[in-house]
Parts: sequence; structure tokens; C-alpha cells
Amino acid sequence: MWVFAAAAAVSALSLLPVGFVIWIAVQTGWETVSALIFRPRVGELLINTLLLLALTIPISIALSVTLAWLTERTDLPGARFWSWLAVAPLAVPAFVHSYAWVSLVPGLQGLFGGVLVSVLAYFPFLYLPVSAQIRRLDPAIEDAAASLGNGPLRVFFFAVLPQLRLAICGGSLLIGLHLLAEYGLYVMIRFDTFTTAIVDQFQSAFNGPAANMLAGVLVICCFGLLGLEALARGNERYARVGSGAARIPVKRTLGWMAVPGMLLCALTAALAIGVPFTTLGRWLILGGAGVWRLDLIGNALGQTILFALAGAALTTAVTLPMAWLSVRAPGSIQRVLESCHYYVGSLPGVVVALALVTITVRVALPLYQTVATLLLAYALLFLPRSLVGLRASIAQVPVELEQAAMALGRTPINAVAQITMRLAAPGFAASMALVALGITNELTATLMLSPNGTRTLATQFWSLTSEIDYVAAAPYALLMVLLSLPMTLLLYTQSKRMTGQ
Amino acid sequence: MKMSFSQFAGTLIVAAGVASATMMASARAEDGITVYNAQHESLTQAWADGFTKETGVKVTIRNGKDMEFANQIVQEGAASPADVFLTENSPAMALVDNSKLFAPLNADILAQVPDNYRPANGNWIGVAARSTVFAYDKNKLTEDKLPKSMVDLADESWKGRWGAAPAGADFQAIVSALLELKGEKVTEDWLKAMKENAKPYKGNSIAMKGVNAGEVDGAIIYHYYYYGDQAKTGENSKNVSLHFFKNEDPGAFVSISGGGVLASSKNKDQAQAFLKWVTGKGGQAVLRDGNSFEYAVGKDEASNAALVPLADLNAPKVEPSKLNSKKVTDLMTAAGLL
Amino acid sequence: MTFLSVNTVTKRYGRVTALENVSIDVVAGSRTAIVGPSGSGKTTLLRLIAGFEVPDSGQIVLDGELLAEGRAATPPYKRSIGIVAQDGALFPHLTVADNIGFGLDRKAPHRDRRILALMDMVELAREMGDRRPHQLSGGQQQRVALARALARQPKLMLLDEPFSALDTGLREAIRMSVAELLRAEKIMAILVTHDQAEALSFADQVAILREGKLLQSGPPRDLYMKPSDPGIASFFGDAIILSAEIDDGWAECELGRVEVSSSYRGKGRIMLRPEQVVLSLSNGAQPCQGTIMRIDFNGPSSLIALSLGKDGAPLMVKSARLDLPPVGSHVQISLIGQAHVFA
Repeated sequence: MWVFAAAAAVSALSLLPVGFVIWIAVQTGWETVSALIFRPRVGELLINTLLLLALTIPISIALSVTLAWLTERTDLPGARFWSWLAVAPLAVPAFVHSYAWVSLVPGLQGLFGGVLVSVLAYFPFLYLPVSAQIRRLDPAIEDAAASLGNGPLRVFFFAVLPQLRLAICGGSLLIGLHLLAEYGLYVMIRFDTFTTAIVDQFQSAFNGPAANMLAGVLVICCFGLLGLEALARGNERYARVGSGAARIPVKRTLGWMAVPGMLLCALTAALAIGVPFTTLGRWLILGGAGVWRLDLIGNALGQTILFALAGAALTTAVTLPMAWLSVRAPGSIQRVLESCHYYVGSLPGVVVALALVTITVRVALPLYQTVATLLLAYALLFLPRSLVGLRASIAQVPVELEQAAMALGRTPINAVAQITMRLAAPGFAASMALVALGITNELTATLMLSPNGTRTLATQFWSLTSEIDYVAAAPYALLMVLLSLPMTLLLYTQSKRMTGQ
Repeated sequence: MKMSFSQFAGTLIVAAGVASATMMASARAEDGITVYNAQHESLTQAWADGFTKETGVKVTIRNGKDMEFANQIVQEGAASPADVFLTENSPAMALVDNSKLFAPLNADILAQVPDNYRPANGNWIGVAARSTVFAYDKNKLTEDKLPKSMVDLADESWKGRWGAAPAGADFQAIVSALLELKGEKVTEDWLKAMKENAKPYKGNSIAMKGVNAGEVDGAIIYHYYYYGDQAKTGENSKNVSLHFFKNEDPGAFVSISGGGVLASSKNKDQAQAFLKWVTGKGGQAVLRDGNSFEYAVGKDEASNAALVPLADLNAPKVEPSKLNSKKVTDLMTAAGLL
Repeated sequence: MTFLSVNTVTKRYGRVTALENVSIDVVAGSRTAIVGPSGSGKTTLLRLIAGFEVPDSGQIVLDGELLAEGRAATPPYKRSIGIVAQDGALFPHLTVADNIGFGLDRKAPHRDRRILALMDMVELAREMGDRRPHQLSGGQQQRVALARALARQPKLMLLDEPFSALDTGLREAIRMSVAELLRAEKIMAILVTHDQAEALSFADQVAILREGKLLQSGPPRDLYMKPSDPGIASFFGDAIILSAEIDDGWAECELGRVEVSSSYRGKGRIMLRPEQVVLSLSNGAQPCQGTIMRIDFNGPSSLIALSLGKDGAPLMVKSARLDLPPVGSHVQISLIGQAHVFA
């Protein structure tokens, strides 16, 4: 029962941001609200945002599916290596990608620039699930389709692609939500989205109604995406590819096609990894030893690591009841609670931060500008990340083990602690690492909520790039990349292990 | 994994505890003062370091933007953790002052700055100044093709040729001066024309970069972005030249960066001492010798030698306490710029 | 003497009734098997006894101690009940010895010696102690699970399909050794299974559940020979069910006049097990004859389809005889024992 209460409490907290937007809308009154929402500027932002989504997602799908197919199902030379390079861009935070691009091509901007950098920064979110799925596909289906007289292209489009639907939907949703939430990338590339406009309003008028109403529209966009994904996914959610040792898929011989294939892989890697690392390297060389202000950098690094650890610990702690419930006591109440946990993670950091700033300053002053509030924001933002990992690792521990421990004289809490938690610990550590990665690269909520005197790698990097001091910003970017690398490695190996390789 | 789960969990909890405790301690440092800083971080850091070195008083800086902080202070009211508020422009100071949240400044501080760089009521004070300029691409425009007045940029002929950073407090201060000097109608029309004509940038330095890269012919920014870049690598301003409107044009507006002590401050003495230091010899010397390139405002204090002297700018006279930020953001929101 | 008493227990999950008014008594020192198809509620019953679930109503009493009365229940760790699950549920992160010792107090005297004794008891080689569960075969895993449950000297052992994951040959051997061990240790046991042969051979008492209701319970022989309805009859094995006119201990049916174990009068149905039917070559004088239409040879026994000379379905009979007459022969049908009447 206490587990239920805890999960319900977390769910209630997760409703805070949207409840807040509604509350402000009611307080502001319909006339002001409609004046603030139905105006040309909002229309512009909406068009910008939709164009961004409509271009970035299909391009990312095409790129990821092609790369996944090349690296998993063909005899492309060095497939392992290319597959690594296709995941590696995740180690570079999105705003470091754009930092690299604007310093390399200063004229890069607007929709084109936004789409280019977004694709490069986010396509691995699709590549990972798609390549995992394509690896698991039963080759018998392709053979069957081919034996029915379909050419290789038709086989791919009619037999292979539909089976990747779940992976594509999931990855696209993830990218879409990132596109809606990202701030730094689009500021640098000079492309206005709802998120950048909300921060503009925030900087011009703190938490005025205009900012809150933009946040409302953004929340609706997020829900729209969730709904779209649910539609596209259809009811195949629980469909599983049959278990049992599937035949090792035959690798298709590319022949001379290997050359364009490798060119594509190399080009993607050059743009998505080469550009960030060469520009970063260039700024570091230009700056020399002088930019390594070790006291400042050390302080930022220390704070970042502390925030990341504390945030990850808190997030894991608050997710635990829900994860446990959804594995051990599934039911309709549990589903409602769980969807609360998921929805809040789809909200951009700026919306959550805006809500928490206003709530703490108006009704919970002792919490205002405290570490506690910032950590709460992190916990809300990264609930889904944490939940997915925890749930999977708890699900790996059969309930019979817990019961066996109880039948052997352990109290329920002891049984969970000694058996379930112990066996799920590696999975827990992995999901905590992912949350920590998210916190390390978080910008907007940290800027708006952090206590006085806070300096993280991300905020320092941001304040230096805002003064176009690209040289001094480079060490911070490098450190963020270095911190992210192990987590990226973890993601990569996890996706391999999931498919038993 | 050799570590047992309880050890693992224990380590985790200890780590989280230590982390929060350390951060609480650093954030809740009761000694010293907290500054809400909307000025350039490097400038305020230099001031804070100088002040701490001289007095031993610790300074904690929170960085943000003018209007963000002004509105934030109003919301925080008596509970504000800030002791001192520093801005880049005057409208934010006026907003806080109108809410009666500033403590009057000591006479010895006010005496350090001439009348025209502080409001009449003495609730806050100018700590530095910056001048509006038209930064233009010297490869594209010659002197004779430059606009005579900032108001001319509303003209059809300038469509797509100029830029600015409308979301920034800097530009909004310039608009508030326009509003104060020319009235609401002119401002409204000018902003509407701007929405059509101008390319919006995120920040003055980025707008200057845009001019340098040939994206637009010119941009309304403040003077020191140019000098600052020239002093570093010059890479972002090698094609740029500055045009001062002078002539008491709204485009010649000199914006006063303000400093004030909050009425809610529990460390008023130290806060007053900080502002006294900033407006005095030490603080103004930072402006003269550092690389901020903002104008010094202290009596008999020289600005950086590289700058066009403040007195030669022929700026319009604007009472800083009358700048209306709320009206400006409303007008800009209505024009679709925000 | 009743040792475990389950009294009118009902358990619902939402709208689904898993168990309805189930009552069953288990005598001290006996072994009980609960059988039923999947979804019949047998596992729920076991979990209620173990304490993993709480009944909505009814009582469970073990050795005079009230374990559950309605929703008030003793938690599992306070019941002295051992459980062996289908796949053993061994803790994968512990060695075999640590698994067995899991229920023993860490500071208990002679803990190590006790673990070795338990391993001996379940016939597990002592050098297995350092291995991890995944290094053992299925049968060995089940022995570890049994030893682990025995370590706490439970009053009652619950066996949740513990043999079903094992290979056929191994299954019988382990079942027999477990039954022997429980008997020797005087531990009462309840076995849940969907395998009727396993239930019949293992238990002193068999209870059959279907759709949450207890249909019949009793000694294995009674359930086999005197099932209370045709469904139960066919659950426990092939049955020949015939319509008959019954009067005074005799039934008139397709097979002629058959002795029955009931004094029921009137129309009804009777049941015979195929083993009760004996075929011999016809000498023309006996009353009940048939013609062999088909023989399916299955090795140890053969399945024979007999035509009784009338319309209607052929009679299916099992025979272990290797010298069966060829298809088309007339055979004499005689019966061993009495037929069972469904009242």
C-alpha cells in the first residue's frame, strides 16, 4: 500500500507543471489568454516548430534505417566500426553540436541549419532502436517475400520496413520531444521555436503570462506528438518477435555498392563527429593552456558531478515505487499513474522550470532557489528515462524469487532489498548513469532554478558562448563530451546485449 | 560486481547526501552578499574580485537578464535572496524602483556619480554606460548611405537589410528611449516596420557577427561589442565599422547600467559598500583598464582610451527613471517580435 | 487428525473469481495433490496457503494456528511453510550452499554442517556447494530448492509443479525420491500439478479443481474409479461412458448386462475404464460380442476399435495383449469389476 501511495504522490507531483499552466490560464482570464495565444507570433513559432519536426524526423528515419541496414544486414567492410560511429554523436550535447557548426560555418542559420544540426545531433536516437530491431528480424520473412517474386527493394519496403515500425515510432517520438525541448541548439543556430521564445519572454518579463501561455501551447504540441506516435504505432505495442534462436541473418553482398555505402557512413560520421571534434580541437589549440582556468573549470566540473549524482539518486528513488508497481502489480490504476510518469518527461525543461519557479516563489518560498527544487526538476524531467531502465531490470527478477525469500523467513522489505534490488542493481546503475548524463547536459532548468552561485559545465559553456568567447568555452564542451562518452558506450552495449550479442 | 547491494545503496545515499550538503552550504553562504547580475559576467566578476580583495567580503553572483531579474525581484518581494541588483540598462532598475523595493543609497555613493547618470530620487545609481550604435558592413555601406536617424530604419528601403536582438534588454532599453522621446504611436509603427524589415538575432554579439558575415548591412547594437571583439581576435568584426547617430537622435541613446541595494537586504552595509566601490576609483578603473569597453560614469573617471569620448556622443536627454519596460515588452509582443 | 484446514475460502481478482467457497482438509502426515487444468485456481489456492495472497473470505488453519481469516492474515515469513516452485526459484547471485543456507540464521551453530546434511538428504553431491544455480541441471536445481525449503524444517511443504520442467524419465525418479524423503521426514506436503498421473501416484489425497470450484477430493483410487462426473472421469484417463438402464445393482447397456456399484434405479450413464474390458476369442455362446474394426499398435498396449453390431460409435478398448486376433475377428467382451454410475 505504501508503494501505491508513494507512486501516487510522485504522479501528483508530475502533474504539477500542466496543472500550473492551466491554473495560470484560468487566473489570467480568457481574453488575455486568447490575445496571447492567437497572435501571428505564435503562428510563426508553430509553423517553425512544425517544419522542424516535419523535416528532421523523416530525414533522420531515412538516414538511420539506411545506416542500420548497412551496418547490420550487409557485408559492409568495417560494419562494427561504422555502427559505433553512428552512436557516438550522442556523446556530444546538442548545443555543442551547434557550437561546432556555427564556428565552422558562421552563416549557418534558420530552418536549414536547424534541421541539419538536429539530424546530426539526434539521429542516433533512431539508429539505436532500429539497428537493434533489424538485427532481430527473422530472415525467413525476407526469404519468403523474395520467394514470392519481390525484388530486393520491394522486399525491404514491404517486408522489412513494416517490422521496424515500433522502433521507428519510438525513436521518432524521442527525437520529436527533443526538438520541442531543445534551447541551446536553436539559439546558436538562430532558429526560433517555442522553447526559445519562452526563454526570450522569461528574460524580458520573468514569468509573465505571455511566457506561460507559450508554454501551454508547447505542452499541447508535446501531447500532439505523443498522440501521433500512439496512432502510428497502432496496437502492435505488445507484439513481440518470436523467441527462440532465430537464424543468423544472411548478410547481403553489396559488391560495388559497398563504395557508396561506406561513403554515406563516412560522410555521416564526418558531419556528426568530425565537425564537433575538429572545431573543438581547433578552439582548444587556439586557446592553448591559457583557457584552462583550472579553478573555475574544476568548480564547474565538481558541481556538475554532484548535481548529476544527487539528481540521479533522487530520480531513481522516486521512480522506484512506480517501477516496482508496474512490474509486480499491473492494473488500471497503475497504468494511469505510469502514464503520469511518462508524460512529465515529455515536457521541455523550460516548462517544468517555469512552473517550479512560479510555484516556489509564490507559495513555497523556503524552497525557492534551492538545490531541492532543482533536483526535483531534474527528477521530473528524467522520470521516464529512469522508469524504463528500472522497470526492465526489476522485470528481470521473477517474483518467485521474492516469494521464495519470504517463505524462507524474510520480511517483504527484506526480501525486496536482498533479492530484487540486489539482482536489479546493475540495471539500476545503468539507468542512473543515463539520468546523470541527462543532468550533465541540462541547460534551461539549471539556468532558471539553480541556487545562487551555481556554475555547471553546461551553464558556464552557455554563458561563455553567449559572449562568443568560443575559445574559453571549449574546455567545458570537451569535459561534457568526456563525461558523456562512458554513458554512450553503455547505451551501445546495452542495445547489443538486448539482442543477445 | 563485488560490491553488495546494501553497500552500493549506502554509497549512493552518502554521495547524494554529501552532494546536497555541499551545495546547500555553498548556496546558503550567509557571509557576504548576493548579487543579481544582469551585467556581463566577466565585468561583474572583476568588480566582485576587486571588492573582495579590498574588503574581504564574499560576493555570490547569480547571472541572468535585466528584465528577468527585475520581474523576479518584484515577485520575490521581501523574501528576495539578493542584496544588490546590477543591470545593463535602466528600465529594469526603474521597474524595481517603482515597486519601492530599493533602499535609498548613501549620500557618499551618490556623490561619486554626476546627476545625469542617476535618477533624481537617488534610489539607484549608474555604474557604467553604453551607447547605441549602428554597426555596419564597411564593404557594403559608405558613410553617405548610412541612416541619418534610427527612425529611418522603418523605411521600406531598409527591408531585410538590418538586424537587432529584440529579445535582449539592451535593445528593449533603446526602444524605451524611443518611446520616451517620440511617443507611443511612433514607437508602435517603428516596431511594426521592424518586424517586416529587420532580421532578429539572439544577442548583440551574434547580430554583429551577422553583419560581419554579410548577412545584413547593419545592426542596432551597443558600442562595446565591437571594441571587445577588436581587442580579442577581431575575427567577428573585421568587416564592421560603427556609426554613431549623435544629434540627440533616439539612436544616440546612452543607456545607463544601474546598481541598487534591495530594501529587503539583510546585509545593507556591505551592499552599500559594494556599490560605493563599484562607482568609486577601483570599480571605474576596471572599466577603464579592463576589456569590457563600457563607459565609466564616475566623476572625473576616464573611460577606456580606445573609445569615442562619452561627451562627444551628443546623446538625447532621457530621465532614466521614466523608462517604461512593461509598455515596451507589451508593444513588442503585440508587434510579434517577442 | 486434521492438520491443515481450508475452510470456505473465496478469492476474487476484480471481477474474476479465482476460488469460490473451497474447503479442503488435510490429515497430518499425508500428501495431498491438487489437480486441475490451467486457470482452475490451483496455484491461487497454493499461494493462499503460502500467504502470498490473502483470501477475500474463509479461513485457513494450520496445526491449530489461524493463518488467515478473511483479509486478516499472517504474512508468509511468519508461517512455517516451505515452498518449491516450478523452476526452483533459486537465487542466481548465490552459490548452491548459500541458497540452501538462505533460510538458516547466519549465526546458527553448525550452519555449514547442516547445509552439507541437507545436500546429502536430497542426494546432491557435496562438491556442488560452490557452484552457481545456472551451472546445475534442472533436476539438481529442484533438489537445491527442496533442500533450501527443508532447511527451515517446515510443518508443511508446498510443491508448485516442481517436476513439470524436468524430462519425462527424470521426472518420475525425482518425484519418487521426493515423496520418499517427505515421508521419511514426516513433512506434510501439498503438490499442485496439471498432470493427473503425477497427482495419483504422489498423493494420499487428490483434490480436483475446475473454474475455481473444488469438484471432488478423496483417495486417488476413488477419484479414478468413482469420479463424480464424466468430466472428471476423462480428466484422469480414458473412460468408456455408456447410456444404461439401471436397476438393482445391474445396468442394461450396449455391452449387455453389467454389474454396477450403485443401487440407483432408472436411466443413467455408467463408466468403465478401458482396462476393465477384456477381449477373448468368441466361441459363439457368450452374450456380448463385437467385431474388431481397427487396431492401433502403440507398443506396450494397443487401441482397439470394436463394432458392437449396432449403429453408433465404435467402442474403444485398450489391451496389453500381443496376440490380438486380426481385424475382422469376432471377439468376446467380458468385464472386470463393477461399472461406476453417474448419479
